[in-house]
Amino acid sequence: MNGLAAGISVDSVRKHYATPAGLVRAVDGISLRVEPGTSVAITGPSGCGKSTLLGLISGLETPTAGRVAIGGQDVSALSERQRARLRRQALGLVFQADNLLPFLTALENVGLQLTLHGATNGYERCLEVLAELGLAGEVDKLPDQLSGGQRQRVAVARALIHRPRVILADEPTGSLDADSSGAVIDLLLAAQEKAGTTLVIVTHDLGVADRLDRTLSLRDGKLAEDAARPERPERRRVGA
Amino acid sequence: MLRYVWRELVRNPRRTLASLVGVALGVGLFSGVLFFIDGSSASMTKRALDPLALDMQRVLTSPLGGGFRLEERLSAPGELRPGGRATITLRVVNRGAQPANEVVVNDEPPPPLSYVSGTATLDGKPLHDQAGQSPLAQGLARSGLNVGTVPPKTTLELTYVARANRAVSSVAALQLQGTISSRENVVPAPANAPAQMTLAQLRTEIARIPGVAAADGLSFVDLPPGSLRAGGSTIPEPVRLFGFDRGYQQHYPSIRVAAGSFGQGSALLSAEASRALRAQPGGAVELSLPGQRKPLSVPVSGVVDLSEAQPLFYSRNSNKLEDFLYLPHSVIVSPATFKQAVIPAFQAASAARGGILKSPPVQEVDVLVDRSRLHSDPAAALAQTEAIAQSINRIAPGQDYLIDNISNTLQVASDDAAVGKRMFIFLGLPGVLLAAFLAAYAGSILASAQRREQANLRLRGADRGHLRRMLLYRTLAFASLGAVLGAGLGLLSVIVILGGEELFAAAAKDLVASGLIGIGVGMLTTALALYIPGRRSLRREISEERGEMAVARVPAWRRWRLDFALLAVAAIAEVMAFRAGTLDAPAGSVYEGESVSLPSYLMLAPLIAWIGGMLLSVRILEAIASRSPVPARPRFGPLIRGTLSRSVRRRTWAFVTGFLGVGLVVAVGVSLAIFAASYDAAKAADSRLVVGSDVRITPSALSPRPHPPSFASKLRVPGVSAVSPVVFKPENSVLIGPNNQDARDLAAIDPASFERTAALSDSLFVDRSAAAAMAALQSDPRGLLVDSQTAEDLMVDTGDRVQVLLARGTKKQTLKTFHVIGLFDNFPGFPEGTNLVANLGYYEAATRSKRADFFLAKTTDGNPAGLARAVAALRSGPGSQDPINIDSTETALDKDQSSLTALNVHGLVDLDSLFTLLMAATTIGIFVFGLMLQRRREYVTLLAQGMQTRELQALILAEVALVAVCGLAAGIVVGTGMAYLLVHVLRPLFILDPSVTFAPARIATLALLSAAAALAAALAATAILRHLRPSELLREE
Repeated sequence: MNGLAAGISVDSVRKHYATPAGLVRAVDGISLRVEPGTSVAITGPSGCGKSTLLGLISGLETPTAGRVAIGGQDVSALSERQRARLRRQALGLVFQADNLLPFLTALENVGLQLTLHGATNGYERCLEVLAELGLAGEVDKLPDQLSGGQRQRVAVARALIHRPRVILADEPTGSLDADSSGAVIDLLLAAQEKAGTTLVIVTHDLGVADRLDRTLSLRDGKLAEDAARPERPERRRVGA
Repeated sequence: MLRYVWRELVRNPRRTLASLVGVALGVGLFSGVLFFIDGSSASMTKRALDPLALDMQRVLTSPLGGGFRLEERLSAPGELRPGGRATITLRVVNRGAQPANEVVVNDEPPPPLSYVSGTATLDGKPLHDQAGQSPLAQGLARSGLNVGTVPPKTTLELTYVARANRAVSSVAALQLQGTISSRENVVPAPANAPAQMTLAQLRTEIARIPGVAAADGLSFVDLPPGSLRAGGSTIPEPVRLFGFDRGYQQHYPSIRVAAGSFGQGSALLSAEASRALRAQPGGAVELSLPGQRKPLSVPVSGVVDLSEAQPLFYSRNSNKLEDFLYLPHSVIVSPATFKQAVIPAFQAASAARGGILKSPPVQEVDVLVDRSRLHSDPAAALAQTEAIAQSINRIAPGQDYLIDNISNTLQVASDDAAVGKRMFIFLGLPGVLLAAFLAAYAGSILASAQRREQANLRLRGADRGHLRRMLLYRTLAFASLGAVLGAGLGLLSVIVILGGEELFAAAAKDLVASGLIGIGVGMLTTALALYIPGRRSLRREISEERGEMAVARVPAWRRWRLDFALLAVAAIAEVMAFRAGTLDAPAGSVYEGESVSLPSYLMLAPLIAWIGGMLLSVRILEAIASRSPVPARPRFGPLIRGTLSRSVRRRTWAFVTGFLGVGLVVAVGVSLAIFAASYDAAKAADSRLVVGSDVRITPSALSPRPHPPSFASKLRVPGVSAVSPVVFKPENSVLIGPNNQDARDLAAIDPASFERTAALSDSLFVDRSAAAAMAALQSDPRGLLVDSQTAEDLMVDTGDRVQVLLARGTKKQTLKTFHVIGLFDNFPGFPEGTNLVANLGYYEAATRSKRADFFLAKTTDGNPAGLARAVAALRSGPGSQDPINIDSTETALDKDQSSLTALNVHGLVDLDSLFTLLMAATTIGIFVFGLMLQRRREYVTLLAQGMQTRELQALILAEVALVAVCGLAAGIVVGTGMAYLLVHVLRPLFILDPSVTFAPARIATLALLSAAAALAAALAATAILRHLRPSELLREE
């Protein structure tokens, strides 16, 4: 499945939570389709359900109702074990927080993803990817010894190392300055372009959204707008 | 503020529970120990008093006296001016039927009066002063005047004049000081003393005292060999003649009537005397009494077994009070016969000019205290018995003295109880320290979450003062609630283990005090453990918070090498104890008024070693963990091992904190398990030493048959594997050394069968092994083993030739030469101790005696069931045809053991084990909870990366297992070291040196249950993970 982009299909998906304050409809009947190899930005105000939708697509959360499919495979019908296998083989996840494991070096954090993928020897590729991301001199450093931008680049490397078919990024630039933010988006777009990966980014940043093929706006757990761009915007090169 | 803290506690139940549970368990253990001591103190009083044969003895100082007294009066005006004179008159009155010999009158004028020289007269005739001093108080010793013999029905009058050195306002208030003594009544009696009470009067007065269950008169006198006859037979050995009634026998059931009964004007014979004289009820015996030409003839109305009658044969000699000096040939007559026939005979013998009684009669009232009314606490019981003793002493002062055995025993038991309390408090102290540790541990786990909340509060305007107050309230809430819950838990667990009845037998004030101490100490320590780190945390800014990876600073204890220092202190304490002789065998017994002495530093040593040992373990583990190999590039390694090895190596502190908690708890559990096993082994070894083997069979005095050593073959019943005959009597020999000689207890044994049967061990012998000693005694029939104290007293040593008078005081008495072949400290089978051990074959040949005193038997199965089977077989076999007394290790109660051995150590260890397990589980639980709190985002990230739940479960379980296994290993090692020090504390409680005895089953149970707790905690953790919201967690900054 690696290396071949996969489309995403979301049909009437609902995610409701019971809380002491009442029922929360985090995602309330969203349907959408993302074509393989395209990039989509999901925007909307805080609490509109963007991250929950991403969690549902990645299989980290199960929908209350509806169906999510990746590459035609019904994610919501998979067992927990199968969902885990899907994530380690077909998905790359990037979060606002880098979520690097603090006791692993940059290289090991990336290498762990490969190990999860089943590779027993892939350090050379990890080194290559990290070098491509401008981290050749930082590979043996622990996350605490890296800057925020460097950490997020390691997180991107971790998401790309196993050549996923879909990259899901939740506010990947939310905690970065403008330069670092641009660099991270460049990396993701370059990867998407190079490997034809499907890319979904949750973002508040309209500048980021403008660089993707399509923008979906959510409001109160519902899809409010679906704006496709006729032409692909100009993209900056990786590492710039 | 208070409301905020309250809401915080209520709305974070898991966090509150994590903080409270450790405090509650630790305080529960400590207060449980305190309650346990209160509850078990009742058995200490009982244990102390069980071997006591006689509670109190009021002994008449003048058993032969009667009608002999001194009257003194002072004639003067009501008041005296300085220089004024008074006449003092002393009248020696003998209204008795016998003369009083060598009468000494002593008197000095009461201050401020002084003797006027040359004024003393005797029956009107002047007496010469002695060197200017009154003849009634002369010389440095102020000796009195010997007026010689005072015939019956006569009076002597002495007078002298005294002068007032200063004014005396009331002459009547002056205390007269005259005393009188005689050859018959050697204890000086004060002037104007009330008339001498008879034994019956004294008994009646004492019986009225509240708390006295019974007061019985007992008279006895030892008669020389040949004093007892019947028909043509005479007893060629000394005879003891008793005077007491049926009431006495009923109060002291060790006096067993085998045939007939008590009867007025008749006598009961001891079984041995009856057999020797062939005198049965219906017959008569004759007693030769000194001072009487005609023997006393009394009809025989019964036969008694006195072989175990401790009240009758315990020595009245103050330095041998615990010695059972049995005389087999005894006669019991009624108190009236003793008073009317025996006392006058001795009075006559004593009054005869020049007659000196070697063994005068003893008359006493034996007092039985109502033990059911005694307080369970030995100290309180002591106050009760002392009050009774004071009441008894107030009756007829000066006419007698009181031997207060029960108060002496309770005094020792009370001191022992205090030592026991101290010892068990030290055993419970780890509970408090663990409570503090667990509170601090839980606090450190929660610190990051709390610091985040504090930062929020500060953003909303709270200053450091507010935060400090919140910390104080929170600390007080945790400490007080945890301590109260802990005290309740402690009480509940003691009720379960000890039983409510036994626990609540303790005084309510003691239980309340224990509860308050438990709560107070628990609150203080846990509050400090929570507050101090909390304050330190407040001083740090939120920006300094960096999570687990930031805790890389070397802790103070490591910089200061506290682990090495603590271990050195524990070692020094042990060396000090060793050099001070604290670890030596106890010198005496409770009857000698010696309580157990345990220096506090000896009890602190295990605690110090515990902390020092675990800190050293942490140092070692950190060193190992930081050097542990991780898969080298270019490999990450297997998923779980690669992740775990890097986690452990790079954030050792989290790992070692969990390890430290488990290790501390396990060490306490292991040390107490070994302590209890060692205690059991020491108790069993002592029991075997006292009995001599598993069983001791003593032919009853009532048995008409002879019991030669060959009788041993009849005792080889099913369940008995070996039997050995022993000849033994107290003071049955005289050891004649090169410079000195003395009466000693000699035992004659058959070395071959004794070695197979008896509880011999090399530690009992001074200069050779047990096997070598027995072999030497076997090969050298004239060999003699000597106890080390006798060897020192009589200056003999191994290799010396000595002479021994065998069968002393019997017609088989003979002097033989022996060769000292070895020395021993203790010999099995002799609770009172034996001084000499000889070869039975040689002894038989030398004395021509064919009689064994008792037999030792070893059972096939040493366990209680095997013992019970063997005892039953002995009773139903040889015991059914021939009366025998059987003692076993199950029934032996050695009076040389401290009353502390009555403490239910097993119950205490059960209590400790329960809490140890709970605390081990709690520590693991807090560790896992801490992992979940600190690393949940890590775990969710791993899940997001595609790690499967079972892989994550394995990762958590592996880390928890590593903590549990390392903690268990270190805990077992440190706990064993602690146990070694703790077992030393037992040394003064037992006769034999207790050795460290492992308890593999208990330790394995602890290990298995800890492993189960680790597994359960890891599974619970992954279950919790499933309920987390990954999307939210992964977005957190």
